[in-house]
Order: sequence, then C-alpha cells, then structure tokens
Amino acid sequence: MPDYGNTGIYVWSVTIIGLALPAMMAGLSLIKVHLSKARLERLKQEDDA
Amino acid sequence: MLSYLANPLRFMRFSRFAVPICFALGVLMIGWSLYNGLFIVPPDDLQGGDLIRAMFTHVPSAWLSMGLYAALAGASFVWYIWRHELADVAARAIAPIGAGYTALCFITGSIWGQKGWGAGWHNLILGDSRLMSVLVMLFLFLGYIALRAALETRQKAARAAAILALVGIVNVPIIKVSVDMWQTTTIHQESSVLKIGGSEPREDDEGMNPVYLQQLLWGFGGHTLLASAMILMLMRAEVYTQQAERQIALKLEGH
Repeated sequence: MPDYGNTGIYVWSVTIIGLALPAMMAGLSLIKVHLSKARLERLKQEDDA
Repeated sequence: MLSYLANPLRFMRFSRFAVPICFALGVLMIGWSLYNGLFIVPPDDLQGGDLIRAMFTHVPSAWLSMGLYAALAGASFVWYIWRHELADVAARAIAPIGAGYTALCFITGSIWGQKGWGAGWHNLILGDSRLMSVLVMLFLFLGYIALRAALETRQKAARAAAILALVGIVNVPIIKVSVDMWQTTTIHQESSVLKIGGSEPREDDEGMNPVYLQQLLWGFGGHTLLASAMILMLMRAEVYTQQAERQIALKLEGH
C-alpha cells in the first residue's frame, strides 16, 4: 500500500465510499429486478394452475 | 436505434445482454482508473500532493450526476411530447441512480474539501454558488422520486414528474458556469477540463496533466457504463412490475 501521509485518510475514505455507494446501488437494482421477475412468474404460475 | 428499442419486447431482449456487458466493462474501467490513479500517477504538488487522487472518484461522479439529470430531462421530454411509455420507464429508473451519484459527489467533495479547503461542504454550502446548485440538483432528483410516489395514478405522476424534470434542467448549465463565470461566489476551483466563459487562462496555465485526464476519462466511462447497467436493470424491473399489474387486472376482471 502506498503511504500518502496525512492525506491518506481522506484519499482512502473518498475511494472506499466511491466504490461502496455504486456497489450498493447495483446490488439493490439486482435485487429489485429479481423480485419483480419472481412476482410475475408466480402470478403466471397461479394463472396456469 | 432508439425507435427500435421503443418496443418493450425488443428492449427486454436487448437489455438482457447489455446489462452484464455494461456491468463488466464498467467495473473493469473503474478498476483500471483507480489502480492508475491511486498507485501509478505521481502526486500533484500544486493541488495538495496525494490529495489529487480523490479527484478520480469525485469528478466522474460529478460529471455523471449532471449527465444523468440531462438524461432524466430528455426521457421526460420524450414521454411528455410523444407519450412513449418506455421513456417514462427510463425516467423513473434514472432518478434514483442520479440521486445516488449526486449524493456521492457531495459526500466525496465534502471529505476532499475538509482537507483541501480546511472546511467541509456542510460549513460552506450557504452562499456558495457551486455547492448550492448541486444541492438543488439533489433535491430535484429526490423531489422527482417523491412526486412519482405521491400521486395516485401512473399517468398523473408521470406528467407532474416530467414537468418537474423539464423545469429543473435549467439548473444543469448553472452548475457548469458557476465555477467559471461567478468565481467570486464560490470557493470551488475553476473547471480544468472544459471551461465555459470566465477569466482568460494564465500564460503559465498548461491545463490538466494528461496523465490525470486519462484516468478521469477511464473513471467517467466506467461509471457511465455501470450506471447504464443499473438503469437497464431498474427498467427491466419496471417492465416486469407493469406486466404483473396487468396480469392482476385481468384476473380481477375474471379473464
């Protein structure tokens, strides 16, 4: 790991938040699309039954 | 291309392949930008030494938040004029991602400002044209989401939200020119990539080091692809939800 001295805490905080927030948004989007698809498939199965 | 994708069936077929490709390419490009930005490029002695490395996260998120607002307004315009349902689905999907990237721009800028300016954005925001105009954009995104959730019917919500998005587009050029033309009203530095108006550049000003610019563009490209993947996923979710609602309506009608 490079040593950025007393600016390290700022650089790493920005970088970690910059990765964590988009990763969280991507995860939530993925969950949402899977839940919506599962709901539609369940409704179709109920209709077919 | 856009009219081809306007058909929901074609859109679902296209997005099924586009999502993983955009996602993978976006992650690779962001990784490449951060690897170079954090480990390879030299510190900038004029811009706080190693603190410049915060730029490779903050600046792409700032550019993207403005781009996403423009996309939101564009999709709202298409829906408002031609009443195309997929444009409304797109606008609805863009809003939360835009709000997320605007929040990211704020949070990372505040941390950077804490060291670079000696004060976080929360201490400076009142009276600063750049910070205030970005805050207005965050409120516009949040207002758009709240408005869509507040109104009873989909059509009413789409109409009111589209008008809000279209009125709010005036804020995007204000954000852009706030650091170039109104320098006395902001502590934020001037644009160093694309400058519009304001003072003439100094003779000794060579612009941004191309090594930094390259990493910025990789980061921006990566975040744009990642945001596109997220928007396409949310659009797919919305299409599934609408199909499920139609299914329920048919069931209630006794078909």
